[in-house]
Amino acid sequence: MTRSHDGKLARAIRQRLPSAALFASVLVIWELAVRILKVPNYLLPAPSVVFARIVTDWASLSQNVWVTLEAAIAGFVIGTVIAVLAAFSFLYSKTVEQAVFPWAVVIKTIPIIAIAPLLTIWLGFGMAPKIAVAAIGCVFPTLVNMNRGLAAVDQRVIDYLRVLRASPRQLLAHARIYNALPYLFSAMKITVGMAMVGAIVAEFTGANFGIGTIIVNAGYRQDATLLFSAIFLSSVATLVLYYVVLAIEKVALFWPGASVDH
Amino acid sequence: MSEEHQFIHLEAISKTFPGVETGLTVLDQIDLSVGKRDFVSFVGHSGCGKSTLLRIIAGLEPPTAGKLMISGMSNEDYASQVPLGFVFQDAALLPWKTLAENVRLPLDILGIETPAIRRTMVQRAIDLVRLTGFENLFPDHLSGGMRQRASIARSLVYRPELLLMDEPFGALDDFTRRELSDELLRIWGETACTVLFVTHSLPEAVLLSDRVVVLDNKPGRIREIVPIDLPRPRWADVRASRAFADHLLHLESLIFGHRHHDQIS
Repeated sequence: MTRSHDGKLARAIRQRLPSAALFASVLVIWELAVRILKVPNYLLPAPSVVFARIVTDWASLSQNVWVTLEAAIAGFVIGTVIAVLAAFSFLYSKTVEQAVFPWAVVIKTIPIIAIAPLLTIWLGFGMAPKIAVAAIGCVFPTLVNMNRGLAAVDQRVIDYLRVLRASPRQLLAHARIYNALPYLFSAMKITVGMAMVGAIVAEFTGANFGIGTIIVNAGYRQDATLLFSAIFLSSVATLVLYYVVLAIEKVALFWPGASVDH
Repeated sequence: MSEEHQFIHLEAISKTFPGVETGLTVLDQIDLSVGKRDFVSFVGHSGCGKSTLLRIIAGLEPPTAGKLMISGMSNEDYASQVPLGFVFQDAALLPWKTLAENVRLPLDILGIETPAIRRTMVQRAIDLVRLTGFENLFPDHLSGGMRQRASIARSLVYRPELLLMDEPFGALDDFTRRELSDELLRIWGETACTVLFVTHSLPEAVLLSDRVVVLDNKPGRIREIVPIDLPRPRWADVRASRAFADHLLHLESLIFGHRHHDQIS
């Protein structure tokens, strides 16, 4: 299109060039080192071996990653919705906030790995415990951020709306929600990754399907190649999730100067 | 003073902020009457409570003591019947709304008129402050002067009887500031509302006002109310007149004493 557009694209490529080059050189050194030093596959498989394994086992690997991804997405959505609703309720009742918030902190301090087996006992070996663990991981950061975002409206904006005798509902609709959006996305960009970790951890403690199950089984069989394949695919899945959130953020934070990150 | 001077009536308004032992008294026994269509400025050193006085009149803060009536009602009752206009120092526009949406917001909140009429009112207010063509820009993409114009537009769009302006040009550079005070002179001429105007700029006060209230410092008391009898309608070139300079000098000697006077003579 225009020259400036080309310039933008070129700049974006140039910016990503160093990290891509680093990744490529690590792969090359890894490949060469494994071949030259004749490291056995069960210790450290060469990247080419890992990619070959991903191709041959694609059907099983992709199905299992997909199962985990589904649980992570469901947990992420549920956890985020719970946190957002809780933050709204805090806005309307200080008592609810004072009652709930300390417990949210307590729940946050419980290591997810410790409650995963419990949830498996209660909820079985299906999707439910994974979704629950993923959701629990998402609630706290989103709640804290959303709470802050709803409250931290510029005092001058609040004063202005008070001069107009705006109702609390109008203040919410015209100011608080918009003010909270950057905070919400800032939390969600962190919690998508945590949701994926949560789902995998839940699979460790007992599940019939999922990339976490594959990781555990591969660990028992000391199948390092399969482990690497699973690690690679789950991080690709997490990355995809992250970029989906980023894309939604781009649409939701439509006004200039909106983002609290970057 | 005639009945006309009773549009706004302040009687012994005091404000003390709770503090160590005695507290901090920023306003002490302020008596003032303002007539309809008057343009009254408040000047004085920082901390003389002029902004606080404006916030009290707007109902953003309660006075510690005293009586405050607008149009024969308490300020709360008045403001719930006739919405006030308020322009803050930094425009305080909502960054997620475009210029037109920001100007439209008070109409939506107050539930004034139908959407079609609102659109015309918004356009008229934007034209009045000469921001035509910038309707769809967000505040972040406007200059400081344009943001302040937008802030004036959104305060005038519902045609308030009373417009409170708290150092509206204080955050602007000198050129923009001067340009906007000239503009305000024109805008006020076209709108017919009562304006209470807090400023640090004496030329601005003289240019715009019918009366200038000079406040003493700590605690804020009225030292003198200076009538500015420059003829109306005024234009920006009144700044060059002898009478303008005399008023300015008088205000300066009131605020800074005769020290300043001596040095330049």
